[in-house]
Amino acid sequence: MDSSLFLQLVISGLTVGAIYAVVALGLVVVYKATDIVNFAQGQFVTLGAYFGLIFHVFLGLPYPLAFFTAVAAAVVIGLILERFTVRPLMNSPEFAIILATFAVSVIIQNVIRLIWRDYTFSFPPIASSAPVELLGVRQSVQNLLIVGVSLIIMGLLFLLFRKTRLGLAMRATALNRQAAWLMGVKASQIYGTTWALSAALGAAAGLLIAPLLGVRPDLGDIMIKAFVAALLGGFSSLPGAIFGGFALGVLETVAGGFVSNAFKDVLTFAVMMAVIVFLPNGFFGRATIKKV
Amino acid sequence: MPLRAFDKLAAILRPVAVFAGFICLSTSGASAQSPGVTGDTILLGGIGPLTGPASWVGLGARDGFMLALDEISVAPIHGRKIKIIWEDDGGTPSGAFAAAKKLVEREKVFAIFSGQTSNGAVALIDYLSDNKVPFFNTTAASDKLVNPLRKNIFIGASMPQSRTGEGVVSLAIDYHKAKRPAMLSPSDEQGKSFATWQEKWFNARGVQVVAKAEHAAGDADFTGQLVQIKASNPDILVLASAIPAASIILRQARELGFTIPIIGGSSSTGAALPQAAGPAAEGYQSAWLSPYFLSDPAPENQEFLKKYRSKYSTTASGRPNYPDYFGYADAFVVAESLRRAGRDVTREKFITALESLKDFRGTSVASLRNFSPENHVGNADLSFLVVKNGQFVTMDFHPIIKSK
Repeated sequence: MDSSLFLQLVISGLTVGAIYAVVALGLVVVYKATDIVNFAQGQFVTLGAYFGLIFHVFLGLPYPLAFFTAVAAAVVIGLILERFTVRPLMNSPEFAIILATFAVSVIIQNVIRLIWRDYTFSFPPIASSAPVELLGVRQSVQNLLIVGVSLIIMGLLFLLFRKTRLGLAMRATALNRQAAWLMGVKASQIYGTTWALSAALGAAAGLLIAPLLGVRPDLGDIMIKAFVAALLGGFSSLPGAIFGGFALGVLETVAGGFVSNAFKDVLTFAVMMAVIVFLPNGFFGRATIKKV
Repeated sequence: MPLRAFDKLAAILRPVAVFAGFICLSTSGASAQSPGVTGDTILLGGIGPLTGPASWVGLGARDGFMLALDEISVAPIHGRKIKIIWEDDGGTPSGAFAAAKKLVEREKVFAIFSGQTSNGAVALIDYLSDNKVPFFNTTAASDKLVNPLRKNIFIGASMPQSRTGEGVVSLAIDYHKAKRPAMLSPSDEQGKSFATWQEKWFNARGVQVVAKAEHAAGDADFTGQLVQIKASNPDILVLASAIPAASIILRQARELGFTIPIIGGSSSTGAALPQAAGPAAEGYQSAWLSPYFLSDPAPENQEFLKKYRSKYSTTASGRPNYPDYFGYADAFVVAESLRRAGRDVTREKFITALESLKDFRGTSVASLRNFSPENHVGNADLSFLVVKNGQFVTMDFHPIIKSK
């Protein structure tokens, strides 16, 4: 296999990786603020795609407007979930909250199945799917746009955390809940905001992959890959989640191309196991020091 | 009431009770011998993937069957109406087995109508044969269902993959003059079986397959397989994938610079494919097993579509699809066989009646069905469609099929 084919695989892997990264960021945002792994994150992806279907395909809104409307709808769902399922359990053991998010995930997926059944709805391309060629590598405008929008989302998230008071409050709460509260930060508001942000990221990912895969109830299964991506990055690092997403996308696409499709998942989860065993804090996470 | 009076009443009522019992037995007739048959009902079991990636097959077959049942029920069969209980097999062998066991052992159905993928249907061959339950397949296409021939198993609208495979290979060699074919197929029963037959027919015609790749059901990224295939420099790509995967493959293949013809089997034919793949679907050719395609303006087809959309106004885009047509058409085949089996219907009589169908067309949107004791594959019509301007249209090509 020559170098241009290798490069082709790498570039294709970046498209998949961008989606993994956006979903992984949603996982990390919640985990950083609340120490909870949100198993319902995948369903925000599914909800985003279905809201996109409603607003763009059924109601005929232009894609950019449908995108923001669908994200807003998912944010409302995220806030409702936080208020009525997570917040009442904030003083419960962590596994109870994690199980609650898992239950929410199953409920959302099956409510979607009840309403829409298991049909795959096609979603129109958001840009030309005709390929453009650069240095022997072909990629569709649509895929490039997906990577571009994902990068913009990541950039906005960076600005939110680094340049705004809200981001500062979120970081403070993640570092030390008690100290943040003493400084006037309301933890409950931060939790709500965190879930809203996580829902927005998931929905954005759903809206980006809908034109590629169609809209169907199992779109949220992408969360498994996003989980691996977040682990690669250390699970508590935003740059780590981005790195993990892109690395995983490239790794599995190259593995699929060079070896076989079945090997793709073998390699993905072998890498995950290796990271858990040899790099428990991932490539970007920091070891937690507990004073005793 | 004094005891003597009770005895007197009992003595009067006893012959009445015996007579009433006799009447009941004679009216329910076959119910003693045939599970699922009562005086006014014939109970069938329906199985198909109603959830999961292959649900468009099971839901289609079910919806088509139920649409036909509305028409069939207008004139009950020897005084009996057909009822059907649908079970979801999720497209898996274990799901299929659980569904069949429930329908046969708990619900005591008369026969099984299958809107399954081959993956699920093949898992039921031994169980339903051992229990002598008629097993009528409208969508599954594995050769294992009919080879070796089993008394209780039939394929209706669908066609064994050996035959479709020969047709697709004929399209590749006789129409496209292909000499270096590559194949991409799903790793499930249906995909493997189809790919195996395609390769056999290529080899039988002296053409070597230059690349073979597989994908799992539900896969969404095929870049790896396509890059592998491209490296072998094929002159045609033959797909065995169903619509959801085939539409993504087409798009990704064109993005990766595939300019060679891409063709496929009947499971990739449907209005949803050009919708999902967009311009990348242009020129795609695939097999079709009914006399009309969706966009066909023929009055018979338009009448079917009108009825379908009136009953199912909220189905997804791309429906009705071929499983809907198949389920609709084969419901009439089952009903006609039940009618021919007579009032004292048994499973054996039903099978004999099915085997007696010659040039039977239950509805104008169905191909002819021909069965015999030696042939349990009803449909022999195979044609090809091509995507033009975003829609499948018929192709002027008649495949050379010697296995018929």
